[in-house]
Amino acid sequence: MRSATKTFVGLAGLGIMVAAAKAGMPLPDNSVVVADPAGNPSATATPTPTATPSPTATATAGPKPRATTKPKPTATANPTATPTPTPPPSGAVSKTSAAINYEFGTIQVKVTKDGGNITDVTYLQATYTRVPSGTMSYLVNASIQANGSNFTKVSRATVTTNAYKQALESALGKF
Amino acid sequence: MSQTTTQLTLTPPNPRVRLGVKKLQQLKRSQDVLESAAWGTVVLVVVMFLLDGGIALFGNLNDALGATSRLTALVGTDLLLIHTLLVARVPWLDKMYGHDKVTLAHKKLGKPILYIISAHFLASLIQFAILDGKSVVDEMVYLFVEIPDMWSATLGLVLMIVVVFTSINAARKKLSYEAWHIIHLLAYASILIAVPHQFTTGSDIAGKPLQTLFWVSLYLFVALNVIWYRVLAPIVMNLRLGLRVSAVTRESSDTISVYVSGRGLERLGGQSGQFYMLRIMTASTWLKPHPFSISAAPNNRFVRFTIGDRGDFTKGLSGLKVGTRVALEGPYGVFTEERRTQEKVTLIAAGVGAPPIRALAESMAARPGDITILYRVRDTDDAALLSELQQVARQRGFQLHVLAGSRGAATSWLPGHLNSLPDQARLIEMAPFVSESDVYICGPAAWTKSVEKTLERVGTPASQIHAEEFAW
Repeated sequence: MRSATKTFVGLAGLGIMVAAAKAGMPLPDNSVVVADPAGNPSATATPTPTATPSPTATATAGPKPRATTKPKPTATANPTATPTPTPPPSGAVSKTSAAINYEFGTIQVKVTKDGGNITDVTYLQATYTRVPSGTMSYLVNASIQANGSNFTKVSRATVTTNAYKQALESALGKF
Repeated sequence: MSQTTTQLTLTPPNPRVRLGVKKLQQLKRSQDVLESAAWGTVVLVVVMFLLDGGIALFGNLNDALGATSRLTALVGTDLLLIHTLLVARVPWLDKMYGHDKVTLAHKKLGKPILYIISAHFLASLIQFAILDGKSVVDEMVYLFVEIPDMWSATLGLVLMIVVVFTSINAARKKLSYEAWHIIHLLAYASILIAVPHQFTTGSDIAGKPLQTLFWVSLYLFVALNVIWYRVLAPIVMNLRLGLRVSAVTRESSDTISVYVSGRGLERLGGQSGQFYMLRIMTASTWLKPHPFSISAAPNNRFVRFTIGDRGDFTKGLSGLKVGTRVALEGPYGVFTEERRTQEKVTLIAAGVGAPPIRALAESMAARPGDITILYRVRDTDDAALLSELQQVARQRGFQLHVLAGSRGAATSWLPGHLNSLPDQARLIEMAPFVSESDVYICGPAAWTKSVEKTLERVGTPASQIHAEEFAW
């Protein structure tokens, strides 16, 4: 490469990388808060359905607007499960777990059971450092499928998996 | 050898040669574009990593290890694929840089890539061990059991270490070419068996369509180039040509010429100054290709190689029987008229370097007086291709200086009896236009360096000096 080209390509490459680093910078605390940490989902959920019934309502629910960019379980499933505005369908009961504090944050879930089966799990709190993408939704699907906490852990997310299982069991214990 | 008395049939010179610096600028431009694209892929993978929030992952030790593991995997794999493409003997690369430069670039990349991939291995292993709260050894066992792809990936790294270490100069010298080559072929296995873990466990490919598209196309591009140019194209060409040895003649006490003929030789293409990998298709030798320059301009009667019989392989060639099947791969190299920009040309050869110079002298477009040939030999009576060079010079009106005699001063590339004046003075004496001509040098490496130094002193621009290093 000629030296002029080398300089140009080098600087351009560097510039692009710096821009990419800035653009890719996630939230400072790198966490996703799905609903009110107080564990009282109806408090924040009540006003939203009347104002905007669309899924974008999640943006207003979270305290940080960037939260919507994370491909994490959304609160859109909430309105159907929220007991206050509409009474639950026959037999479906939801219980909230204890907030499990672990090495990388806090996990709290709300489990819905219909008959003997888990039909839905919602995150009330979910803070975690980077785990393989899809981990959090995998955990939900796996626990619905296994109807409990007996499913294989996510490789590279062992600690998070364990904390989730603990939360799940805490909720299941309340049924 | 009867050619010393009869008139040589010369291939007509290339009528379409373009002179001037413009083509050189075009070449430089396309080289820049290509190299920028290559570095661009590295930038691209880093950018994809950063956009994914990569930089934020250097917060604590564990995350930093994870991020290091990802980044080294991305950059290492990208470079590894470029590294592989560089030995695929791809014509479009060869045409731009020449076989020697491409091979050198390949050699240079080898060790850094190994370091990067090793860093990836260590970083991910330690990170997993910390995450799972196990010792490094336990974690390794655990990963092997849990994720089968880790077995093959680790084996790939081991193979890569073997390949690189056998290619380090010290080790390379102790190995025969054949042993080294077979070990080196393991590199392909090493790359292939490491692929699965990138797609199944890599956090930068799985579930990311853009990244998947990028990596799949990069892999395919390199694989197709390797499979076609390195394997299939030579096989197809040789099946069509059906090449056989048509004559073996002795040129000097330690040089022979091997003539090869076949159907439709014009399909081979090629130019004076280029070389082929020659395989003698007998049971013991077909796996041992050797590079040889053609010593006569391409024509449709024969391909001729003039070979100094010093090595184990070349000694055996003198017993080569007419009718033996041979296979050629090539032509390769840019020691050709393609690189010429000036009207005047100086051709400088020493000993075994004569063949390509002889071919160039035959086919270069030139008026009488445009070309000066210097041929350094030990002994005029025992110099390969000398009589042919004399004939070419006579028929085409070129100057030929035969520089015979044993060596004098250690730094001089001229025979001892000419050392009373500095080399540059002698050079200008023999080739007055040398500073404004294209100079083609072919000879032993140290000798070539010394000629280049002299050329620098007489003011020949570096862009007009052409020398091919023997690298394969």
